[in-house]
Amino acid sequence: MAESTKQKRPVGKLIFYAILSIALYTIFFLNAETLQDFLAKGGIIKASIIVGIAICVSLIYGNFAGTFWEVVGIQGKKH
Amino acid sequence: MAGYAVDPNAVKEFVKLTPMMKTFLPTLGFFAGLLSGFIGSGGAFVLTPGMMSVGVPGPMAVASNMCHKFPKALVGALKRHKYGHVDVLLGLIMGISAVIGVQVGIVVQKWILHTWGEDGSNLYISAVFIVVLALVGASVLRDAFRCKNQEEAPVQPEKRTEKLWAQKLNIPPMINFKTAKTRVSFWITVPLGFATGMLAATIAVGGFIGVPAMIYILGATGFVGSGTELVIAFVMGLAGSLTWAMAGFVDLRIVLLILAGSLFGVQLGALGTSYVKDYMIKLVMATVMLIVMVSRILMVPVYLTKLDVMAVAKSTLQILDKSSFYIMCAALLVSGAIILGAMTKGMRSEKTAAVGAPARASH
Repeated sequence: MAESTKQKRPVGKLIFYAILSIALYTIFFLNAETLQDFLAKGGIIKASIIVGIAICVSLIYGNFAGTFWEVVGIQGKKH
Repeated sequence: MAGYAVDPNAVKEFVKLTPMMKTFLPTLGFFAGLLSGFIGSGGAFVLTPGMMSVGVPGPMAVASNMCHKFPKALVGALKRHKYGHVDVLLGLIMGISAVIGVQVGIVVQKWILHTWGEDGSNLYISAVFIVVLALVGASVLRDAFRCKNQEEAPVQPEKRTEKLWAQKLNIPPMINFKTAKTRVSFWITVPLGFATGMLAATIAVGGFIGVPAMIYILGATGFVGSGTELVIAFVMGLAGSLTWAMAGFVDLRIVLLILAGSLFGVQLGALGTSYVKDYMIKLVMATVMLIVMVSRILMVPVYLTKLDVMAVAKSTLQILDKSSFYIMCAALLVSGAIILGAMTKGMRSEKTAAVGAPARASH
């Protein structure tokens, strides 16, 4: 009975977001110096690229981090 | 130290990343995120000096701090929204007002910098830190203990039904904030957002005014105040990041390294709020405010000496400078320990209740 009420842990989702996050960070850091020199020139387009990358990383990596806590069993209490 | 002011004359000098920085920055980010997820803000105060301590130049540290803050706040706000801790309308109105407050704050900062130089500006920032943190921190701490005593009392007191003074002021347009469960005038909400922005432009942590203002003036709970602050931080951070990025000062490598830790921390902090009582958020906020205040008091003789108002030995100044930074790190660690401790306790009692419930039901 207790087993049936236990929530299934989203391991597949974790692996999916982990792969995406690793890919994102690897691609960025392999080209970090070139990209940084380009973005340091400033201007609205480069500023939009910076903000876009920051949001994109946060949503993908943020999902990975959130799913990680869920998989290790740390979940918010439902009020 | 200031959060938003862009100095167009600052030299752009990006650091070479070392293995130590690649370990230190995500760790610092984790603890800063944990605090932000729990009390809605507060992690930023230690990130700028933290980055500078490993060699990141000041303007890049401030810009990168800002650029990591808004996506972290977005993720934290989405998480807290699930628990019903976010009043989006209140966050947006205060956030937009805060952006205007930031711009005015920058003008004030530039005027002080122009009149009294860098040390005068640092002294002004420290003075604001000390006054705001002492007044607000002490009031929040007193209230946290009052709420704790009430919650632990054997007989629960009747809930306060009396309106706060801000709720009594009927100046149109009046706005209903459904999640915050309050109805207040637009003309009360906007100045609070403006003050949050002014403080953010000065000490980089507007939430030290924003969260207490939402709780004690607008009548929101600690949960909703700290959750909604993440929306304000997102709006302010986005505007600030665009300003810095347009000038080319954001070091995206550093932003991503901090985010690697802080996105774990902010979600854990947000989860933690679902296991604690309302007073615990106030207690952590007050503790952090008062420890940071001590750290800033130590810096006053340093700036006064540089302005030739005081004479203190160079070795003493170095000790004060270092102690100030370590005390700020201590504030982060102490708050982290309180949050994780309270969360573990809450999770244990939850598990005990879950195990006990079916057993009781079978009798």
